[in-house]
Amino acid sequence: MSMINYASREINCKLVYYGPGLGGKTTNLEHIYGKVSPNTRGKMISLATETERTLFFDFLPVDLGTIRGFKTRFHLYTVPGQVYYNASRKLILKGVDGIVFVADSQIERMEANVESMQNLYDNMAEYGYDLTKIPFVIQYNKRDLPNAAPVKDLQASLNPGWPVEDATRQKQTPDPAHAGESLVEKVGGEWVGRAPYHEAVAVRGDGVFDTLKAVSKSVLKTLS
Amino acid sequence: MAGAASWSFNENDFKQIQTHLQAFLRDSNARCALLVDRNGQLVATVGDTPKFDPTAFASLTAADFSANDQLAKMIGEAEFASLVHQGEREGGGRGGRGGRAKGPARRGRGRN
Repeated sequence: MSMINYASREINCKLVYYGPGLGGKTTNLEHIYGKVSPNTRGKMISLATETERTLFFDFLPVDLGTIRGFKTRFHLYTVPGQVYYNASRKLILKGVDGIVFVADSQIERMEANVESMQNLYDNMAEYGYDLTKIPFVIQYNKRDLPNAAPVKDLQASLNPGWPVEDATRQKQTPDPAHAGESLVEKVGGEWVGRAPYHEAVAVRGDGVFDTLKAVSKSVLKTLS
Repeated sequence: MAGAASWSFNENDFKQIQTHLQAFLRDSNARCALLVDRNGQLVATVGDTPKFDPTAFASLTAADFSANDQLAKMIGEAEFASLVHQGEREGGGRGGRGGRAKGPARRGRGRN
């Protein structure tokens, strides 16, 4: 739930990085923390177990510039990926403005990715949020590993598309990040929409800011 | 609802919030009061300027509050109406208001 403070001319938004355990959600935040100037970021808070697995969440506030005189501050959260932490995962989704799903590209983690995506749909539905209507970006992480599945297989499993019923959105929409691909297109007579996706190697920082930029832009668009 | 709605307030709303928070600060005899929404956004601060990071504090407060809310439900309570933390030098009490917002009040030693 974004908060617009006309008194201090600030817009505060909440972004959540979701996905299976050990997929790279915390690594995304750590990279952002390391690259953003200390003047434009707050303190990074990690509620982790002794083995440094996220227990409750990681939190990082980042200022992403000014829009029409309003300072935009994004609160970045990760959730714990491990299946048994669903209670805390659900709590963190409360009031979310945009979601990044960090998928682990390794073939062996395909099942974990699908399970986590289903869990995201279920938890969002319980709050009455529709994942197909809020800013949502998928990141295929660990693209450098030899056992990474092809992107088209990941897309088929995790981002197969949903029916677009809103007539105003039923138009061919090219994917700005991937030439020749579309975010909304007609498939077999039906209009289908897909979430934008980005490939990443979060440990090296590749694709981390592309993903953040895509989701934050989408959130700001919903506010304008 | 497609997603979370956004909410906004203008200069006058903000002044009213601060007036109420100032009154709360006086009544509670605390040094500083923070108003935080359920999602962890800091809405307003009155009293002494906090020496800690108020943004991080707000986020952790909301998380702690939500976790305690769930713990209350697990043992059959509708909610824990207030929570008190007491350290060696600093302490604080927190209370939910109308299920929507809460005000952590920070108190000095011996004033709780």
